Amino acid sequence: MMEIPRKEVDVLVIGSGASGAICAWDAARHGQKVSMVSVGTSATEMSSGCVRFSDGRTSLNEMGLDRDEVEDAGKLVERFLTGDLKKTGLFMTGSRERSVQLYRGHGGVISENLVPATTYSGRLDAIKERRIGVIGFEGRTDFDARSFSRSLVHGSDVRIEHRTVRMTELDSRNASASAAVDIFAEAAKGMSGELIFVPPFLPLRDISVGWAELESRSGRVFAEPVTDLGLPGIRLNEALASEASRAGVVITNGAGIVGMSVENGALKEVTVRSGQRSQRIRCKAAVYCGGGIVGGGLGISGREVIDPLGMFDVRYLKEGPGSDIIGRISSGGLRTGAELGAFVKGEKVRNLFVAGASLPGMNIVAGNGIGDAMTTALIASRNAREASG
Amino acid sequence: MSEADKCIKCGSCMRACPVVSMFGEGVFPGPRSLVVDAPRSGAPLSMNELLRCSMCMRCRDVCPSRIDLPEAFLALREANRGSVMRPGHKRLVENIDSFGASVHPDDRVLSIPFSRSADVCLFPGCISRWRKPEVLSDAAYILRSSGTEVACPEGLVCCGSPLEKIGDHERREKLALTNVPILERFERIVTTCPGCAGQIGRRYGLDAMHMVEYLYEVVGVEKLTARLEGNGMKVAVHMPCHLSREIGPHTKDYVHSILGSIHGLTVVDYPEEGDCCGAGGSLLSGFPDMASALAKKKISAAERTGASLIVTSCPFCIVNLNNAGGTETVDMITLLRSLSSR
Repeated sequence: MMEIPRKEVDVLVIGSGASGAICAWDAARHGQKVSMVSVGTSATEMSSGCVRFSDGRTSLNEMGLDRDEVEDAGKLVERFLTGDLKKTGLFMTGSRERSVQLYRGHGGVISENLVPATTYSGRLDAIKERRIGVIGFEGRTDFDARSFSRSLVHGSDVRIEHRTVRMTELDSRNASASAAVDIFAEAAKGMSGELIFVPPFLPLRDISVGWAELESRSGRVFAEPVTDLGLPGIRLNEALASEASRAGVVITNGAGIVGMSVENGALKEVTVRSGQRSQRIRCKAAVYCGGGIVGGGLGISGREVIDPLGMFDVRYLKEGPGSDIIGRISSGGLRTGAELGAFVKGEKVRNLFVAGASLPGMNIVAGNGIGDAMTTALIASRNAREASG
Repeated sequence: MSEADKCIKCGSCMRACPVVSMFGEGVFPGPRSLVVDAPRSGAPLSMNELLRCSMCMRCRDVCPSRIDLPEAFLALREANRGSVMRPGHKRLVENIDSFGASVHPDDRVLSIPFSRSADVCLFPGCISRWRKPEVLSDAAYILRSSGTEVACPEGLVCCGSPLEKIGDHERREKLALTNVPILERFERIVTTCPGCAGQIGRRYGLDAMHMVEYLYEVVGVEKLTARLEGNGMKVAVHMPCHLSREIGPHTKDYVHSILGSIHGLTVVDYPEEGDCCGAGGSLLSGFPDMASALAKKKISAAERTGASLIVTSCPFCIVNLNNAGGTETVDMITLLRSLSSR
């Protein structure tokens, strides 16, 4: 494979989901020269765009992380998401300390801590007191208007008014945002409800202005249900990448890890693939935020969690013949020592760290959320900065 | 374990596909349906459906399981190739058999100052050679000005990429066998077409640099753009799929670095920069109406930025976008040459 010119950076971040992005952002704002590389689609992009801080904080303590450090990092994650991210147009509300229950587009209810301002996060019982409208979107799979409506009215005799917008009238991928806003605003005007639920249809660059226009033009309050595999996850990922980029991070998507060279317990160089070319990246420190099973960072084979790169050691929090397969796999991840330092082929590497869902017990199956993953990413970033000097 | 078994059914590939997005699954079932679902269920595949992929390779970029979906499409096209061909593909094959070119050659003579003996071969590629020869002459001029002597040897034929895309490996192989002995003699091969660069890299056992790579890595941005003046022109970049995804994402940085260094030139930032123009994967010859619709969509996106010119680095993209009307599309090489002669 032909090589392209070598790159030199202070900190290399592998993975551009929530963990990678906040890790890179943090390192860059402290003056480090940061490069963030990734392949595929992150679990963050596929998520609902909401951020959970679960009681999986016990996992973070099980990992030997200092309680105060976890607390400080967690607070910074919250400030970053509810404060810094506003510049990108994405407004997140809520609290790290208290979760809120949200209606899902497919029906049912889910708990999250931080949610986009466009998601309905009012008290569930209060909904009965409002006149509700639901605008469905024929042909969309992330929002089942009927199941959603059934969840809203569960146990009560609230009536919900329905309207449907057709795919041919609006394909938000082909139509411009203002055309989309027009269509939904018009549909809402013909309804009597004052709170109208719509499926997510505005991308990040249009969400702030578009939402305001939607509400002012129709005179109604709009809200989105929680949906995954759609726009909200993409918005969150884009917003995080945008902030990282603003801090000076150079982002390359489509560059996968081909090799790592470790000498005398230190990572010297990482080789990435860029299309038909390879590139060597010399770094002073690196943080692996490649994700868990959903994001493609870890694989499963039988009862084993595997590192697709074939470089890192794997560890399970739940060992022993008694543990069931799901319990074992969800407790598996890349082995780290104190300070989230990585182990490569049994050897501790002093300037290589692991963060996010790749850590044992950190993936979503184990009950941990994006908030916890981002917390570990900030701790790893601080350690990487120290190692980089 | 076959590649397709790694599919976790997340649907990322379907959401990323420009053809599914534009025309719907009724027209093009999409990567997941054709590469994973149909083979798993043993359902027969229709060559017409398989041919509607534009080979933009976004599906491979976004797949969390890293399944090589484009490669699977090519393998399925090879396996399902029957005797009935799209009219455009029939013409392609006739041209190859008659002229060794994917298009009917015209009688324009290529008047490029090539040196008899040079270390660098400029591989012309059919579309540049027979439809956009000014791009080749501008490329040769720029290389010459920067101190590189290039040759364009006799006897070169189509790189074979269009044949690979329609599953005709017999013809593709014959073309490669003609080209390899000629190309082997050179230290370096440079081309203006990402399709040719990709084909030579993947199939020939040789390697070709795309002009964008050569200009950035060998000539250097400073030397290339130092005396150029943009005079307030506003341009939109169209990143060719085969360049950014097959040759590699580093080419995006290269293009922006080169254009960004031209004094007085504004390059707009718009999210649709990497969207497929619709020409690839043999879509331009096989389903020209689909290629045209995708091109129009791309041009609308570029026009919304207020740019007066679209700049790209692929002859197929140029032909397809200009066929759709609206704002003109030129090769970056043409732009560099025109700015230097002001």
